[in-house]
Amino acid sequence: MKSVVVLSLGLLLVSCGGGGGGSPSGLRPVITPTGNTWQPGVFANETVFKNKCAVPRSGVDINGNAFPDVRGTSFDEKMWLRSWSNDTYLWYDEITDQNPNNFNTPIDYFGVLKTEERTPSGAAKDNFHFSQSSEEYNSFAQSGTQTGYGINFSFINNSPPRSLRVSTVEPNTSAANEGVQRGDKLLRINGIDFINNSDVDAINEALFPENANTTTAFVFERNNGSEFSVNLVSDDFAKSFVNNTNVIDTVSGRVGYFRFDGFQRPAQTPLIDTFQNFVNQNVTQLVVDLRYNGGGLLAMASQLAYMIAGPNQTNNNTFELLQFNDKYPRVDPVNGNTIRPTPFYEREIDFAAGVFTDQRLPNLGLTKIYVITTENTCSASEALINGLRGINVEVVQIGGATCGKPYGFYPTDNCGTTFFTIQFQGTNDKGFGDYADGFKPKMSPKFDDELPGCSVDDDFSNPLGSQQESMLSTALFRISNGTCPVSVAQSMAIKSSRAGQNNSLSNVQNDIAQESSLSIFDPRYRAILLESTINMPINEKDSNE
Amino acid sequence: MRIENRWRKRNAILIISALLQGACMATVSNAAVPATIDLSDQDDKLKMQQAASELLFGRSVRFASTAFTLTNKVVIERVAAKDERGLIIEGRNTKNDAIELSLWLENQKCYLRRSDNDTSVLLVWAHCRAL
Repeated sequence: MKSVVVLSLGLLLVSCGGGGGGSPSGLRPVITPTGNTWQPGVFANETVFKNKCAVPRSGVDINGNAFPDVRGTSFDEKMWLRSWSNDTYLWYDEITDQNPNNFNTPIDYFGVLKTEERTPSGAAKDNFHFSQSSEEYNSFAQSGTQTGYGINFSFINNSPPRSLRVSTVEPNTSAANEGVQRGDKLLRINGIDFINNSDVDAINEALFPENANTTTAFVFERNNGSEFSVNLVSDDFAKSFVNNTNVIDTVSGRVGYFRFDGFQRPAQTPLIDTFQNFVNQNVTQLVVDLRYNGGGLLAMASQLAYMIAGPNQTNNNTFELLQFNDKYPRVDPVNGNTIRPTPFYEREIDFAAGVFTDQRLPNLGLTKIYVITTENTCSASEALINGLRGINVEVVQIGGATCGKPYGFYPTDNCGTTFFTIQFQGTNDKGFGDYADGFKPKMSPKFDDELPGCSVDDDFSNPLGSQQESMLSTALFRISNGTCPVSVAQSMAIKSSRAGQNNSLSNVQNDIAQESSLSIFDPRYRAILLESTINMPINEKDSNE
Repeated sequence: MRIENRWRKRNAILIISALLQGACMATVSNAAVPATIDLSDQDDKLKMQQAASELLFGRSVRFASTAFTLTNKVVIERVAAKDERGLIIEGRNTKNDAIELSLWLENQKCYLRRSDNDTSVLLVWAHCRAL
């Protein structure tokens, strides 16, 4: 702790001394921030402003303790956000220090307390700045339950013309009972044109019911073009996280496959059962379908990595290390604990008690796995990929780029609002964690955020788990042949050639495609792409692949 | 995103309803045995949610209809906020802030217990079965 205090004081002096010019350092005047006014570049400790609220809450928290709020002002709340961000935001030195008086509300001000930098692909570096009312944040539900009709949607286009397709249907729900199917495209809801209508509130209210027993009329377009009308009733249902588990015999051995939809507490037992089944059936290859897995518990990602890699590869290695901003190289700024890496957990966890049980996890001891991904593959799912790569497990990626979220935060309440500002980045055993543009499948990976694999779109025309479904079939092809199916290879090659504006290459590819029309794979694509990327502008190539 | 004033209104209703339903703070003794209950009736589920809410000082709590049917324990956690793409905001969760609620039967009376602070509420309406 002492080193942190010294470091903090040092930083304070540096920030206070700037711009003074000329005077000897020993005589440099020290400004003591009081918090009464905004002084550019001068930050009082966040505790000066914490819990000073324009409208203090009465009542108690979830443990029966009175809220700590005291009478303050909106200015106090904004100044707390400013100091807190300056202290703990991962990129605090990229925040433009703006006068809080120029913003109407603390939430408005919070909106600018983030970096405006871009990732190499041109996307916003911080896409995850978020706040919600603490009352909403502190609403609880049975672990793993959702309120709704039992439909999980893929958001293809959120704004008009909107496109929303059913990605999965939860078993034993209204949607399952009434025959809603994967691939169904939403046309109308409660009579409202979903694709073009501007009444967003009515659409949201119908799509995402707050309560059970809400009846809503849906009209879908099926994969065959017909319309399907159905009334669905909402409920609080237990979501299924481990699905379509199967063992597939191939020429390359027994392949285990399962779709994993969230690192949530109820998933632990089915995950363990799935791996025990794979062990019992002598599975030698593994496809983990993470296409709809937005993350969850980092500890469970560590457990899953252990079950994949086994003790020989994971022993004493780091699954993930959280790195905070450079003010906190050794101590977690939020809980004050010494920063320690998350190892690969080899035992079951009693999440209610917060302890390990005596049950050791089964493991496959694999040195190579296949993951199916989309832009919905996020956070803890990416930590799984990164953690395995950190210990030299080869991860072959089938699908699309992942969401690019190597970051996390500690949701923090002040005056009734809970703020989420990025405070740490996760890195693997090799110290790598720079995948803000997501992990990308490439036939010839060149950068650390590129993985060997095949780029293929989600296939709504086939059921998940079917060997005809494009992503799984591509994974199985890759396992058996060591490379991508020709249709996928063509697609990847064309995208690369467009990025490089290399017409001659495109012609060569067309020739090869014609020649190989009867074969399902032409290994020459690999070499051509390898050569073509050398002279290709990296940014253009990345943005088009 | 849900609207804040709607939540406030709902929580106020929950607290008042819990009091009216006759759920009251109680103590579970060592003689109590684990119990289960059928919550397939929406009214019963609502009453159970109200009792759980009382143990969390008025916070909203939701159960699946299958809660407490096979085991006397249910783990609850904060409802995960999602972004506009439907992805959970806190996708790299390093904390374990789950709370275990459990159902107990003692002298033909049914209790819901919050494990982390050992508080209980008597469910005067409930027909629990010993596990």
